[in-house]
Amino acid sequence: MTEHTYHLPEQSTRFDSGDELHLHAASENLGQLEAARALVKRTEAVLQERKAEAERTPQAEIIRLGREITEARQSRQAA
Amino acid sequence: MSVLRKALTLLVGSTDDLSYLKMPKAGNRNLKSLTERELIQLESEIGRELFGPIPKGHRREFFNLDPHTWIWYEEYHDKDGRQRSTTTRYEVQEHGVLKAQEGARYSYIEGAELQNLLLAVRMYHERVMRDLYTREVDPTT
Repeated sequence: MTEHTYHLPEQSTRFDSGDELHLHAASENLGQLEAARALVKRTEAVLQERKAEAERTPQAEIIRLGREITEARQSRQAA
Repeated sequence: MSVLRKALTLLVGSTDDLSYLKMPKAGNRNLKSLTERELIQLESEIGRELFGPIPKGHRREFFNLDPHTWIWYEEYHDKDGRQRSTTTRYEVQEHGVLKAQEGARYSYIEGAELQNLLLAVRMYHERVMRDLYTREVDPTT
């Protein structure tokens, strides 16, 4: 995710209404960015949980054990 | 070769060569010289014992054919003395275990039947890896 940094104009010493509008917009953008970050985190957690759930199914375990047996058999043949 | 054909060949074999029926026990054999078919037959010697005593006159085989396929074979004589046999193929897919029997009967197994198959596979894995392939099995997995 891209980080956004907001700078006040370097030459400006005045703080006029235009600057205030920019700051307001920047603040809103940062808020949205934080919300997006939180959403991504929650989505990642849900996906991890679903992946773990899928790996716990009986069929996933049977496939894993079957693969281990097949590999052991093949390596015995290759020995 | 189709999976079913391969399984049947493994189960019944060629009638020209029945020597494979007289294999000595695993401990007396040089496993390095065995073919895939012979190794599967040795596995089935273990697999057939996982479900308790085999009734007199029955022949049972249970083995892993490949990572996604398990075979159950039962042979017996009916009350009229005729030889009968059933072959059940379990196709393990990501979304379930498909049970296929003769007569194109297909169904996904669930509940106790699925749990029993899982239990049998765990026992088969543990015994085969330890006794045949002499590998350590992690009891937590």
